[in-house]
Amino acid sequence: MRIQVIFMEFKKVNITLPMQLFEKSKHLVEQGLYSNFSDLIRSSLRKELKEEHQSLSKEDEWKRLVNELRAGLKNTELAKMSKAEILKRLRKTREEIYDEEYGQVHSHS
Amino acid sequence: MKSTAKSIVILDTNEFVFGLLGNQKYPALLTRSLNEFHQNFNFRVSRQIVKEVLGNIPKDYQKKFFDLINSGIIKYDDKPIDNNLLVKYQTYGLKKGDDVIAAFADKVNATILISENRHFLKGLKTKRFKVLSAEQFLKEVAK
Repeated sequence: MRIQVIFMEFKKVNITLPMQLFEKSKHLVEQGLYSNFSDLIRSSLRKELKEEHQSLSKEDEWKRLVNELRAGLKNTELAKMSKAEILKRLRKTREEIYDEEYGQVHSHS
Repeated sequence: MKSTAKSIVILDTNEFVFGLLGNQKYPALLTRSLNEFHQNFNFRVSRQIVKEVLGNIPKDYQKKFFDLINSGIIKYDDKPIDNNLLVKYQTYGLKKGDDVIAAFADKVNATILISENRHFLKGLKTKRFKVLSAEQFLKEVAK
């Protein structure tokens, strides 16, 4: 088995915090949730970077799916229709779904 | 920094259909850029709207559309509309089914309903939310 040792480089940073935020953070360290204040900051930054990464992935996924749907729908019957024809077709679908979902309760004039 | 209360925005079925076909300038631009606008707006979609889109695109693309809806940019509400709310919008003289969309916008406290439907754009008089076309939204709100 080969053991790989990873050396992490560290950078010392001075930060300025509002007193209230500092006091609340210190309380978390005192409760034992973090081994020290640096540990708390490192953990918070990792969490923030993870969320940012997930948010960016979501955005990329949206664009990818829109592009794929657009490429696929380009050659369909729907793409050959005019705007007015599509609106008319959507109206018909809307009414049909209305009848299915609400028709028994509501009679539309 | 996390943002606070974002405006809730509904896209009508026609915006998705035109947007995904890509042949109408503003709906195409809006749909493609929704992932950028979602930092400032909360987009919602209703059961009725999803069913209408699914009913108009070929079967081969229905799963992909569902993946799009579930990709995290839009929040999907699968619950039917409450009868009282539906009756309220029926009295506005909306066409069959348009009342369901307007009632949904009301239900989720939307501030904007985006639609190319002229009955909505000209006919719906409510102070609960604004009805804008994709062009109006892009030029006036999301600029």
